[in-house]
Amino acid sequence: MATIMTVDDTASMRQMISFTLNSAGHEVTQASDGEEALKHARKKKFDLVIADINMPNMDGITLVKQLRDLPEYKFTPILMLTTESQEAKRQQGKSAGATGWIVKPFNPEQLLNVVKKVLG
Amino acid sequence: MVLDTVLGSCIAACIYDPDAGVGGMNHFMLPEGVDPNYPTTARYGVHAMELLISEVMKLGGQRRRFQAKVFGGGHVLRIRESLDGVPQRNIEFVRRFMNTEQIPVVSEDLGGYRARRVLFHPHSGKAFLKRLGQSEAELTAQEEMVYLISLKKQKLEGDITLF
Repeated sequence: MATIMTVDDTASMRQMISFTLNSAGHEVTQASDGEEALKHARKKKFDLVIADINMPNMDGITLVKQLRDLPEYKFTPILMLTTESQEAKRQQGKSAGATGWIVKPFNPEQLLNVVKKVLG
Repeated sequence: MVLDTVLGSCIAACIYDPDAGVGGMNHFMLPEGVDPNYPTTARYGVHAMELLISEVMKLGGQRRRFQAKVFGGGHVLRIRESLDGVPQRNIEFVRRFMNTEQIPVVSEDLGGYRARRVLFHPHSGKAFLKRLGQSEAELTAQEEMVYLISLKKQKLEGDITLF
């Protein structure tokens, strides 16, 4: 069991992700954009962050950079879960410090497998 | 530019930002039964909606200003069972989605027994609707049946890269 934060501006997507992670026994906190996620992250250390890319206020790439600047998030796994499949975007994610890149559509089983893998 | 689509049991959702003058339209159906207690059963619809929303945001649309118009979900074969309850669950899904996302639906034309042609002008947000005749409805129903079967076979997942 891990504590996981899911960051997505689409509430229906957050519901699906939370439902899936809860079903595997994880504790989930939801944030609707990068700014809100950063606030949560400053208060609490999560074992894993799963974030969308295109969001209002603060996008996912900026969020990863900001998280990596926090000492307690230097090595925390951060997965991007996005509709973006372009290689250029993926490279941006990688250089920002993301751990992995999952292209939507969302598949519950697949997500749980990756989560398991990155939590080690 | 005008977006143009023909709908039987499928749904077309139009989303636009009236202040920025940008918008878009999608066209989708839910191939499987949806259970609100199991949110992941609606993932085909959520994905179609998310693609549209993120494209409109990329065009400069602001999510909090979004308005929606939704069309379709017709019982085009006059037999509900023939499409496995598809029209009704499509309608329920799109209403629930807009409600969850707090996107106001300013206009809708859903259900009924006719096929529809929808023209959407994304800059003004204006939509034009035409109800189609029986022969067009049958043709649309056939095409949607093929689409439904292909969706059921399709594996719904994207690829994964671990850096």
